[in-house]
Amino acid sequence: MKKFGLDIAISPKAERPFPAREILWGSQEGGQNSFPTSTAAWERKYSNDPVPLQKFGKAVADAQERVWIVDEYLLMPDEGKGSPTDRVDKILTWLPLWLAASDIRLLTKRHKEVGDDDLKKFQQQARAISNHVARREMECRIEIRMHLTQACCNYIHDRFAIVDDELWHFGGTAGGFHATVSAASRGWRAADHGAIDFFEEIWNAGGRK
Amino acid sequence: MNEQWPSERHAVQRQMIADTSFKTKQDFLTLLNAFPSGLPRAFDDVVSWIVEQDGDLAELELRMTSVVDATDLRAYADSLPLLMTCACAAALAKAPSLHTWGRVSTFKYNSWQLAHWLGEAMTAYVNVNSPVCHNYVALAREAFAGLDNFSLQSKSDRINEERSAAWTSWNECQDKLDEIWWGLRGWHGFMNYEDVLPLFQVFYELSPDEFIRTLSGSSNPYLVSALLVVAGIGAFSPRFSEWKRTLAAAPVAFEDDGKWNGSVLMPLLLVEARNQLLQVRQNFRTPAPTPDELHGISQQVADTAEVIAAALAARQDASAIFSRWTPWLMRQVLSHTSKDTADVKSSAFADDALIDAIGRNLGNCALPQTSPADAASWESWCYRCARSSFAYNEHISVPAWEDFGNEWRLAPDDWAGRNGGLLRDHANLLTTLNKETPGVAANLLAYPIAQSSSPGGAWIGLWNDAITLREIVEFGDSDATSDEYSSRSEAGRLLLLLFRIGLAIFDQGASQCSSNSSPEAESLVDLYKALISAAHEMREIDSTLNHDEWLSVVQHLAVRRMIWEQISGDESKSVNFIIFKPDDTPTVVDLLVEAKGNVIELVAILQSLLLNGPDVSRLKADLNSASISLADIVRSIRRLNQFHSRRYPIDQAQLQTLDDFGR
Repeated sequence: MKKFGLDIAISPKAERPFPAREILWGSQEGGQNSFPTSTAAWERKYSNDPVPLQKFGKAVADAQERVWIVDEYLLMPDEGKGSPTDRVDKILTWLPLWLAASDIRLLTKRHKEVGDDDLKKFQQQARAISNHVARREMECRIEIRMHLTQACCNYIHDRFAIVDDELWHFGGTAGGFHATVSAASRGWRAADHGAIDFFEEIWNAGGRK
Repeated sequence: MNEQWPSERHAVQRQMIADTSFKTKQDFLTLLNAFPSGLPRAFDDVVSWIVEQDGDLAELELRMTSVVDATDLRAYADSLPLLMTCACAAALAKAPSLHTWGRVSTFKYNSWQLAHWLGEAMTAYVNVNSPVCHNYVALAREAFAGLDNFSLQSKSDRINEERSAAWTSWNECQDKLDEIWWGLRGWHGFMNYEDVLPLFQVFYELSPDEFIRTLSGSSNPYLVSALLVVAGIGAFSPRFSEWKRTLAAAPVAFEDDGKWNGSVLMPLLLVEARNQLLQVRQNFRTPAPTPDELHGISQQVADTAEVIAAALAARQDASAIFSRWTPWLMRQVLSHTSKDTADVKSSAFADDALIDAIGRNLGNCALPQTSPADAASWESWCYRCARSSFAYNEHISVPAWEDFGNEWRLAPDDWAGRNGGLLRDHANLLTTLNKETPGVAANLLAYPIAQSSSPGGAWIGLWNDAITLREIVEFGDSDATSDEYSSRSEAGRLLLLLFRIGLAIFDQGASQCSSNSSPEAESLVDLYKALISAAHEMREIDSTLNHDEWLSVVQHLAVRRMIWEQISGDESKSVNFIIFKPDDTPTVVDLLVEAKGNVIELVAILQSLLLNGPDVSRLKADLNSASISLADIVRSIRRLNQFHSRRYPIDQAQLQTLDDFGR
């Protein structure tokens, strides 16, 4: 296609400082860089309350722009590991009132166990975040879509998250809720790996046709 | 290009590896020719047994072993399975019924050789018994009818379930044509009909026209696409000649107005053509192609696109085909950035080349003015973009845009009603895909308006008439019961697209304008002022996720204000025309003064101005007039960055350029 006009360059957005790559294993202390001992692994496996990765929670709370998470079981704990309400409440702790990011999107699967009241909490939190700071220019938006395993995008196995420009990859549940030995890696530049385009494609696949 | 797909030529270049475990027609002919007076009576008895009696593979093997003994073929390599396969071929010729096919299928299901050799055996058998040709064709037609109505089942329950599930899903599918364009996602392709492929391979070889006519009668895309494989359309050995032959014989799928009549063959052939075009880049699998290789890809893409478009243009219903296929191709182009589309290795480059080739081959094709009623909602504006593209390349006259303009004119109650729904449905894909400013989609939608007698006035009218959208952004949707944010955000995205269309109209007008004293220039200045005003209004009222976009458009506007005022003395530069008089407001100084309150925004504007070859002394004078000290600005932003580096990130290189500029 012929060009329509002049090539006009616009200054690219400055990149935020980027954390070093690291691997984090789930542990009852909130995550560690090395494999757990078998004793710790047993302890976590049979814990009623597997502790998620603290660093992920902190990264989300510190986000300035976006938090996008893809995980079909994000809102649905394993059997015997608490209720969906517990899970939602834990995720909400990642989204404090002073959250600067406005674009929060959770792409998951529909679970009948996750009730409307649980989901409403996200909207209440979004309103509370928006109202917390006077003259906040952009409202906080927490949007949850549940088409992850539907025909439009049922080709995803792994779970991942994009926090601002950083890609997180999870071997188990996003955030590190998984009880058995599982790790997450962080410090990948999302744009370099096509994560942003991929997320938008699967996110929009469930929108209006 | 000679009449081959690029992958076809590529395959020829690869060395063929003979695998003796696959027998050919010639292997069977050699065996049959070993008996000039025909196979012995014992062989005929086995054939009769297959047709008339029950019995399993072991019994067939046993019976054939006695034939091998009687014919003294024990030393002949693979004589037993060869003769067993021959017997099955002969049985199908002797009694061409679904019953016999069922018997043979049972043997085939349990024998690798029978499953893989039967087609070759049948072809060889026809060679020595030409009258059986009709029997095979009749059998294949009966089998096709059985497959189409699901009375002919596979021996595998899993495959039967997959076939049924796919058909059920197809019947429930709302956008069937989209599903075909997507390549029948979620379907395991021809493998679910692998058991009948030998029969249809023979059918196609014996009577290709009859084969195409038979397939044309089915509305089951899974069945048709699977069987097309035997015709060299799809997996394995794609052949352009067969595609073209089938294309010429395929029945009309799209009526004059573009309405799809449900015939699946033509859309499947179009999908195959695009797949082959996309295959070009796959054939050059080098991590870093050389300039020569890139040129080679580009040339092959152009050549392949041309032969596809020319073959389609030869059909009587070409315009209807183009009216439904080009929106899909355009959709693929618009889902990529301009940079992607210019990359010869990208799929967008190939799709763009195909649209261009279709445009060149339109000839006297009278394209329908609009998408038909059965088109999916996304098609309408993608078709509009495709027609604009044809017009921009001077293949058709400029399309009318008034009905497009009317779509934006919503009464206050329309948002939740039919008109609002239509606008949202039509625009949804483009508001989601169009990430650039103004972007390809906005430029294409803008083109007919930019070609009108008063482009600036037309856009200002559109923006003013979009008051309902702005009210929704500002005050919300009173009808929304739960997710009121969505309405505000969606209305904002629509307005952002409309703004980008305005910016594209400005750019297209500016590139044609020769003097700042012309009426066109005055109109463009008015348009520019309206765009500035629109941006100001929107950044005030849109607090959804669109907010950042409205901030960034100021950079685009500031750069344009600078570029189209300055006169380049260098004739070799394309920028040697002017739109703005120095005192046309807002001036660059006005824009800088407005941004002074926000150091982040001011730095972004200044950095963008510096990227577009400013007149250095003029820009310094502008900064002076705006009472802006670059040193103070740089100091402020560095202080902010020290305070919170993630909230106030800086690009050291760009900031250094700014710092140097101020010295």
